[in-house]
Amino acid sequence: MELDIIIRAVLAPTLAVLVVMLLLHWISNKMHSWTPAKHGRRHVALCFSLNLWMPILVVIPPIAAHFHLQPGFEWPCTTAYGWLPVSLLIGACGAMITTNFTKQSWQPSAVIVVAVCSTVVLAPPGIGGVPQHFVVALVATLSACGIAQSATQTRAATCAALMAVAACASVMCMLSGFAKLSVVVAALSAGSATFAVAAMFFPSVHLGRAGATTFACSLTACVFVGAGYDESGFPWWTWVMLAISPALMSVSALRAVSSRPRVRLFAVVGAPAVFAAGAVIAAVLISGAMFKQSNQSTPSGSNSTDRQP
Amino acid sequence: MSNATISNMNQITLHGTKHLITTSILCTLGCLLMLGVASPQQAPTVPAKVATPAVTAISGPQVFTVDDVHSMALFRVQHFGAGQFWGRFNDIEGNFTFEPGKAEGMKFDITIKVDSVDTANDDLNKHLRSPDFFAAKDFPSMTFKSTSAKKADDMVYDVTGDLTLHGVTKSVVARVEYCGMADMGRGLKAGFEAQLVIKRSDFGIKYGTDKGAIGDSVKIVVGLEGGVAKK
Repeated sequence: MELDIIIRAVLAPTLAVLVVMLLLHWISNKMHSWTPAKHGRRHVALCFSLNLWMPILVVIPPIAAHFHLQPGFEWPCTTAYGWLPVSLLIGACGAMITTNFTKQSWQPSAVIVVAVCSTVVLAPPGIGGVPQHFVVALVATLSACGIAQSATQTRAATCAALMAVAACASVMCMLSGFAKLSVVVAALSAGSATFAVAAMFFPSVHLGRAGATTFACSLTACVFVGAGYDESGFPWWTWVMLAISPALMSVSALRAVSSRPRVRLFAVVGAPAVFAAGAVIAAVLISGAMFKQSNQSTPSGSNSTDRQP
Repeated sequence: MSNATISNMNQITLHGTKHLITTSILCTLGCLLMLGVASPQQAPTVPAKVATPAVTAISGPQVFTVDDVHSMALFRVQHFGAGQFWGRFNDIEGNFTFEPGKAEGMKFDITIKVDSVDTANDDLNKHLRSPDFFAAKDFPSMTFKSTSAKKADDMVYDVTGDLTLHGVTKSVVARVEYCGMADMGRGLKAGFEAQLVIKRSDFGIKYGTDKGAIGDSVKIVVGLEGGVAKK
C-alpha cells in the first residue's frame, strides 16, 4: 500500500480528529471552570462535552478514508461497501441518542437497536439475509458490552486494545483482497490509537458507553462487509472471531482479574488482541491464502468439452 | 570373481543391448507412424482460404454460438505510468449473427463472467474481483449488446452497442475485424476480433486513477470464435 494513501486517507483524518478532540476538551474545561450556577452555560458546556461527540469522532476517520478512496456518493448505493459510511453514521448517531437518553441498565437493548439499525442497510453478497443480520447484531452487542465494561476503568488501555483489534481486521481485509476496506478499517484503528494517546494525557478523554457502542457497531459492520466480499475463502467463523474479540475485555471485570492491575491490563489489551490475531492466523492457515504460489492461477471452469488447442 | 560369473554377466549385458536396440527401433517406427497419421489432421488448420468455398454455401445471416474455449477477452491498462499490463477473462459466452460482407443484420450479444479474470497471479486476481475494481460478487458479468453496425472497410465493421460493466451501461463503439469463416468437419465456424477503448472511471471503477497509478483508459481486445451446430 502506498504511503501516500496512508497519509491522506488514514493519518490526515485522524489528526483532524485529534485537533477537534483537544478543542472540545479545552472548551469543555473552560465552560466548567465558569460559574456552575448559570444553568445556560452548563447546557452549552454539555453540548461541547467530549463524551457527547465521541461517537462522531470514532467514525470520522473511517468515513473520511472511505470518501477519500471513493469520491462522490450515489443514492441509492449499489454495493454493500457503498452503504458502509451510511451504516457507520447511523451507528454513531444511534449511539449518541441512546446513550444520552437511556439508563445504563438499558445499554444492551440500546446496543441491539443501534446495531440492527446500522447494519440493516448492509447486504453483503451472499450473507445479507436475516439470520446473518441477527448474528451481526448479537456480535455487536456482546462486543459493545465488553468494551463498555472496561472503558470506564482503563481508558488508554481500552483504546489501545481496540487499535490492535482493528489493525488485525485491517490485515484480514487486505488478505481477503479488499484493499479499500482495509484502509477504512485502518482508519478506525488509527482513530483508536489517537484516543489512547489523548487518554494518557487528558483525564476527561474516555470512550464511554457511546464510543464503545459506536466502535463495536463500526467494527462489526466493516467485518460484515469484509466477509461478504472475501475472495480468499476465509472461514466465516474467523470473521466472527475478529468482530467479537473486543467482548473479551469483559474478563477484566471479574473479581480475580480486576484486583490485580497487571492481570487486568493483560485482560483488557492482551486478550482481545491475541484473540483477533488468532482469528487472522487461523483464517490464513485454513484457507492457505499466503501459501499459494503467485503463478498458480487457473482458468475457471468452462462448459465446453472442446479443449483442443 | 569366477570366469563363469563374468560369462554370465556378459550374456546378460548382450541380451540387454539387444533388447534396448529392439525397443528403440519399435519406438522410432511408432513415432513415425504417429506422425504420419497426425500430419493429415494438422494440415488444414494453416490457411483460412482453404475453407473459403464453405462461405458461399451460406444463405442469409447465421447465428453463431460463442465457443468459450477458443474465445477470450483481453484488457490492457497502464501501470504506474510505465508499462502496459495485460489481463484476460476466460469465461465468455453469447452469440453473434453475421452474414459475410454485410453489416445489416450483424448482431453481437456477448457476456463475460467477471470472476474469470486471470492475470496469472492469484493475489492480483483476488484484488481485481474485489469491489476495488470489478466487484464480481455484486456485478458478476459484463455484457455487450450491439445496437447497430456499419462497414468501415472490406473486413472491418464499426459496431455500436451497450456495454454494461460494474452496473453501469454506456454506449460504445467497437472496431470489429472479420477473421474468417470455415467448416472443417465440426460445423460452420466464424471468427472476429473486436477492439475498443473505454475509460473505466465512466463505469465507476476509479481505484488508482487519482494519481495515475493505474491508467483510466483501458483497451479491450475480444477474440471471438463461434459455431453453428451441424444439422
